[in-house]
Amino acid sequence: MRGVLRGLAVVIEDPQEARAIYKRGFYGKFLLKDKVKLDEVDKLESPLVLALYEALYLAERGILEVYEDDKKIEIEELRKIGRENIKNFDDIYLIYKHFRDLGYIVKSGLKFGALFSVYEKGPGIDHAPMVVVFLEPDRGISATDIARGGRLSHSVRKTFTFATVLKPSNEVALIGFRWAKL
Amino acid sequence: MDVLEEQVARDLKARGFKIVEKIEDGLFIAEKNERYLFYVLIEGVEKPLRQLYRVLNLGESISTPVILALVSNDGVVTYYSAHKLKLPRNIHVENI
Repeated sequence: MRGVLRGLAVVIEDPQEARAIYKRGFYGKFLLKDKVKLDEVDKLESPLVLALYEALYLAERGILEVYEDDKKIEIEELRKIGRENIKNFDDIYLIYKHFRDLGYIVKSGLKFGALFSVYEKGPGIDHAPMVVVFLEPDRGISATDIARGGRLSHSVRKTFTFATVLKPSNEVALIGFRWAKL
Repeated sequence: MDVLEEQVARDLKARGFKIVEKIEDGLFIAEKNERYLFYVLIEGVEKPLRQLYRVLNLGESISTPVILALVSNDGVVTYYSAHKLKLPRNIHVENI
């Protein structure tokens, strides 16, 4: 399938391909539509917008080819564009891939003030996504980080997750936190 | 002992906990009905991630849940449990 790079996102213009990619696991977002359920997809004619890390994941899996104008963008070039424009892109991509490879649905966490929101069944179906906060690998952890994470998740779910990438192994490490009533 | 760390010990005592073993500054085991490994994080003091990891590993190896005691710079204590997360394959997603 074919996507077009426009800045830092990739657009699937063909509605049929857009629907097919979305159905593979809630990849991307239909223009002007949010939380589309799988049984609602066939009615849509909108283009699909993929975040750069989603496009990279699909490209690595051989599902998507990315073009800019009529020039094909190779996978390494796509990665380079991410690295040069988005802070911690490589580590964030590893975390994205970790969840996706395990079969989870990963969406932006921006509206929760976090890196990702992670679903088992899908946005609009799971009522409480896992809120994943990114911890830069070379940074330490502070009391404020943890309390802030707790605040993000209070309205959603009582546990929250920190994700980081251990160096030099590049292993993704997840730590779960929960407010404790002692 | 640091007065802020002391606040954690006082607060736990007030909640009916007994400190059973001090491992190092800011790391100790206390029990009420169950034993917990407590790790103190003082507001404004950053700890390396690998140190938190070491504490989580220690908790795992002695089968004791880890509790982080967050202490504000004026001594108010909040508790969070912490554990390493190993996710299973998501069984809800088929054919993806």
